[in-house]
Amino acid sequence: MREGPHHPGPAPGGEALGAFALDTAVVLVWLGLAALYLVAGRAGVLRGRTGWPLRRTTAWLIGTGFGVVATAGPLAQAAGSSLTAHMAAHLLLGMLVPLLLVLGAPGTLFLRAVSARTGRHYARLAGSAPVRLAAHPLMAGLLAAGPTAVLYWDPAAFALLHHPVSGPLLHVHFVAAGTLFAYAVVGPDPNPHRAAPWLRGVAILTTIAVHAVVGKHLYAVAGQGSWPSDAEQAAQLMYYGGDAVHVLLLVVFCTQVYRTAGRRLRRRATPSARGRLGSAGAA
Amino acid sequence: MGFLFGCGIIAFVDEAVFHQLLHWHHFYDRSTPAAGLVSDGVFHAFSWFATVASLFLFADLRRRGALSTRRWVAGILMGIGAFQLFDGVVQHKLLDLHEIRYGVELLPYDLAWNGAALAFLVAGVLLVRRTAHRSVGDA
Repeated sequence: MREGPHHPGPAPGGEALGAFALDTAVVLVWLGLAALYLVAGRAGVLRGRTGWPLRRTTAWLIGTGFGVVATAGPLAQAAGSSLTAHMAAHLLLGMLVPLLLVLGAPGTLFLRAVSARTGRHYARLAGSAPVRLAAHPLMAGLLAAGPTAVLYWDPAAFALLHHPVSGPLLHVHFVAAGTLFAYAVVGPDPNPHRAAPWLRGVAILTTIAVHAVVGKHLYAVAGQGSWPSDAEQAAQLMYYGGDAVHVLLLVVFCTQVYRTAGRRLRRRATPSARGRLGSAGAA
Repeated sequence: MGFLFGCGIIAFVDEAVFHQLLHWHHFYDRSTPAAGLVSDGVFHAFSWFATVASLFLFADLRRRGALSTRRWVAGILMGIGAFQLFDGVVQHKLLDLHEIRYGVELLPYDLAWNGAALAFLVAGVLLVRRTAHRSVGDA
């Protein structure tokens, strides 16, 4: 067992066994998510709903793969003692994995796999007031960026991340809040109350700005207080690594807006062609 | 729409050349007041957004057959000039975010910085005026 600044006290053998069990459980959860997706795809095909884009399956599987990398194995172990490794895991878990999972369009896949009745239940749930509130881009952005900003602002709050109970819960929160945000701003899944593009753009801009401010603040206070010695390096990883994922998010967002505008352009350009198609269909 | 792209380009030139290559000013000098830090964060976000969005807008103009390369270049020049002037006046001077270089007499640097910004801005405006005349002449 490693003994980092955040893991005070001796590490008895029982703890090592417990850690192994936790690692296995975590890997099983991610493998389960990957398997569920494939099973749902198969179920959809059996219902005659074929033609699922390969890129969605790829996004989901890579997402779960990065999930394993960030929560089990060498990186997760190093994250206990090194803030830089922790930051790498956080970038994966809170930002990249959620984006990839959302691009896998699990909601759409689920709707293809289940009966129309179950689908209607799901649609009612997705359209309900609490979901609508939580999936509002600004609310989702607040849920994703708010707690993260607090955690990295203050060493006392940061210690919560290495607490045996609050630590794993916070990691679950990172994935969940990140996924909610990604769904709110670029989710391909059905969203009965999808916000206007400008609002989603503002939400993305705001979270990028918050991320940059928190990163620089961490860099500024790195030498003070009870931050670990590599806080400076971790802050730079947060800043530039965050940028890399944000650019990916921006490209996805702009591609979607570009495509939507293109469809509108084509509709406007060829009303007669549409009319012909319509009459051909009727005949 | 080249304006946005120009903003993005110069923001990255600033980051790449002055921050990374010359190490004149670090990306953060730890003496920034809170307001400056927030403004810096917003501008960081904006520069990324501008860079990505402007390339998609470029594609959109092409798709509509409304692309004028001259106007686009003019936009880039104006974007570079406006952003650099803003950086030089508001970020460096009013908000005290960071200086261009430390431990030297600042005046020549500031003059060169803001002078170059003005030159870009004027070149962009002149180019736009020329294309405007041309399209009026064509019509």
